[in-house]
Amino acid sequence: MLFYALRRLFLVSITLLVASIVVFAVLEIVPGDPARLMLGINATEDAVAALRLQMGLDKPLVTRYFSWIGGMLTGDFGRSYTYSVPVMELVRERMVVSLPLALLALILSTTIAIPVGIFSAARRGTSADAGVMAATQVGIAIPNFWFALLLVYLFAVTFRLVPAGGFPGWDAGLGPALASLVLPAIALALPQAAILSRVTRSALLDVMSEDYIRTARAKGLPANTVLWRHALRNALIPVLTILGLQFAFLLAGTIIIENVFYLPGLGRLVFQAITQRDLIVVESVVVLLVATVIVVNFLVDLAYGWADPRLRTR
Amino acid sequence: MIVPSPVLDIRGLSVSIGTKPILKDVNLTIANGETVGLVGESGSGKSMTALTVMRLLPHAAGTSGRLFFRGEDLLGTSEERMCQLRGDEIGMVFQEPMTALNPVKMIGEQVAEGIRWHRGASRAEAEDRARRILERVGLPESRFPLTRYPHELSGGQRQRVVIAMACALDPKLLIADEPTTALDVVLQAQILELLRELVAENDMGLLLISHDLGVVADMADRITILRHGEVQDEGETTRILREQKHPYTRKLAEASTHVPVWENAAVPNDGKQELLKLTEVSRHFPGSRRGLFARGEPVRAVDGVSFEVKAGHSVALVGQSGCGKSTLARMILALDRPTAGAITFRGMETSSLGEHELRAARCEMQVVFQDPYGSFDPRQTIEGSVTEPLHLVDKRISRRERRERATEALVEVGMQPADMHKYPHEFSGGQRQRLAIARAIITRPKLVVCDEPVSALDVSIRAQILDLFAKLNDDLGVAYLFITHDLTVARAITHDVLVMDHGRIVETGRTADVLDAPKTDTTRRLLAAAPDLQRAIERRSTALGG
Repeated sequence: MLFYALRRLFLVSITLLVASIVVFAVLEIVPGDPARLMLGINATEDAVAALRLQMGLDKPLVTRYFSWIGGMLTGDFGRSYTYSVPVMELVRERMVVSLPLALLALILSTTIAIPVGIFSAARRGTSADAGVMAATQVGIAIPNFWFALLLVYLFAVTFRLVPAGGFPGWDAGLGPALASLVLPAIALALPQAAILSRVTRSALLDVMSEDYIRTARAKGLPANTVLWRHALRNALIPVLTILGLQFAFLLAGTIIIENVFYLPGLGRLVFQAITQRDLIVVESVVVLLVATVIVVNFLVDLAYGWADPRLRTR
Repeated sequence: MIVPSPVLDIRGLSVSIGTKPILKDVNLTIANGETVGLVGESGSGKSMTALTVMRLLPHAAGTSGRLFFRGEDLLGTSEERMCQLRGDEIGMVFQEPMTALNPVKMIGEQVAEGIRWHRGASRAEAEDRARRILERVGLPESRFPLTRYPHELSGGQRQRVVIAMACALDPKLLIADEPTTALDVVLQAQILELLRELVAENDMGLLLISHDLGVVADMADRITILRHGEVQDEGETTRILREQKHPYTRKLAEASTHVPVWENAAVPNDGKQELLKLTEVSRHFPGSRRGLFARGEPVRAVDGVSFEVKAGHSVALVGQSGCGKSTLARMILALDRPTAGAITFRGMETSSLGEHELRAARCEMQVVFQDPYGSFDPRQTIEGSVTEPLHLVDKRISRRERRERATEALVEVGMQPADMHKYPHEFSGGQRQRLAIARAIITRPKLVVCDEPVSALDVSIRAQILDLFAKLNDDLGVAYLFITHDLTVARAITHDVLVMDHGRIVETGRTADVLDAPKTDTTRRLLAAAPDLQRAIERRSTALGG
């Protein structure tokens, strides 16, 4: 298992390296001068030249890459052009909103999806199964921003249970902070849960027709016990795959959801940075998001190794 | 006088799925310590009988009749009661050991699970009992710790684990559904011996299901022969096999010892053109990892093998599973390269050619695999699959010519030209194997490599396919390399035999000579293990007479 983990870790480092080169290259190769792009067409030559110097655009490409990646690794992300503060600072204060939001959504979607999938699989072909599957179909089809508005209307406007938007900060206490994250997390999680529960159901049904399930039944275990003890762990492998893939969509989803709920998170930061052409911020946040996705998929790989002993020796 | 009630007493059992009858009025009894063989071809309802006893039939199935287990009617009892009986008083062993175990659980865990479930034993007690039963089935803890996962065991070892699971609580009745069909003959003999011992030790009833009369002939006290869900013949084994009164019994017996009539059978070995030649061919695989940089000893899958095949000749390559047969076949087919040595096919050294130069050679050699179900693309028509090798032919082939050649190949293997528009699922296993052969001969190859081509087939189908191989050798002069662990097949259809063991060829010669007077232990072991109906009948008769 250790060897398996080390090998995965090595592959992750390679992936991260390649990803950073791609992100760097895309922003370098795009036609036009980044400094001019950031300043807009009305900027003076002097201003552009000054920004070029500040961004280090006069140095050769390779030097720039290494100083950029070196900065990244030591926590120096550069200075935001529009906010005039270190990008690191911006990212840090936004991260404490986005990371809990994403985690909350992830936890919510798995805790909903896996029991629902198991429920449906265990009652395959019944009207309960059909009802649940119809509901997930709706869940997949509804856009999350519209669903978010619906949640706001229902729980914030009509019942006044939670705030409609904004974030009081963690200083305001755990309760109020979490309360303002609940609706965005639900809006993010439900469509994901819909997909994940369908995957769980079909993976379980596939596994339930395997020979070893019949062996377990022949041992005298009742059908439901077999499902929990023998089928579930085998069915987890496709579920984990989808979970890893979904995480990227979850991050993309935060950009929209944070805007709907006026949350000062990374998604909103990157959205604003793009509209204000703050390339330094865009570059940093994109690399950060990419790194997060890669790390999450590394964790998924480790989970594979836990779930399936056959993968460890390979 | 009290007559002891039998362990299993099936009376007038009928099963249907939807409107389709599966079993019709089946009667069968098993007494304590008795082994009853249930024989029939695929689709005859053997497995359905077993699943009915276990009450593990698909939900849609309807049953009628009575089914008593130690006096208790199982068809009328509750699911809770069935859960108590399954795995405790009734054990079951399945056909496919490779998939019968949960891949993510350790073997100790899987054996102990039933013990804990039924006896409420603690983990330690259950593991202790699991340890003992695993040792009993030949997996001592010193070599096979409880923490092994199924993928770390071979097929024969996995089947032992399945048997350990079924017998962990000393069941009164054991149902073994084709327990050895997926194993080679030596392993088959070992597993059957183990079952025989367990029956004697625990005085349990054994329902042994098989498609092969030869397998049950040695094991069963009584035989029931099933066809299309109906009992054809049943009674004491010796009588059934010696008298062979029922025409279907006779047919099955003949099919299992069938030898095709074959013009080329007597063709002498010399004077023919050399087709395939292997010189000191080896294939070593890197050993398994021992650490970050260290590796174990390399595995010598094939080790210095030399032989040749002449044009139009049929050669058997026999040996136990894992002896290197399939690795060798892959190298001959240029799907893998030897680590040392050379393979020459029709004067071309295929072991050193690039993929492009190999096209000409590939056109001249084709392959037929064991599993007629897995070797067809389910979404392609038969025409598409059968004509696929034609892309190896150098000249462009028009659509019409493709169709003509497909027609010709289908007719040659005994199928209808109209079959080319159908899909694989519309055919039975035997028909699919015919189609696989049609695909192999469509390019008019000089050599066809057959990897266990009949071991997945029923005896009567097997006899037909062997006849087909013989006919095609007569008609087309195609040479065969038959990879098999079944010596009956080797004897029926090959001129020469190569016996392989641990990557080496240990014995070669004319098939009849080698099999009649084996010189090495490997060959003797294979011969002794091979189920032989004739021998079994003789043995039983002398036992009765003496």
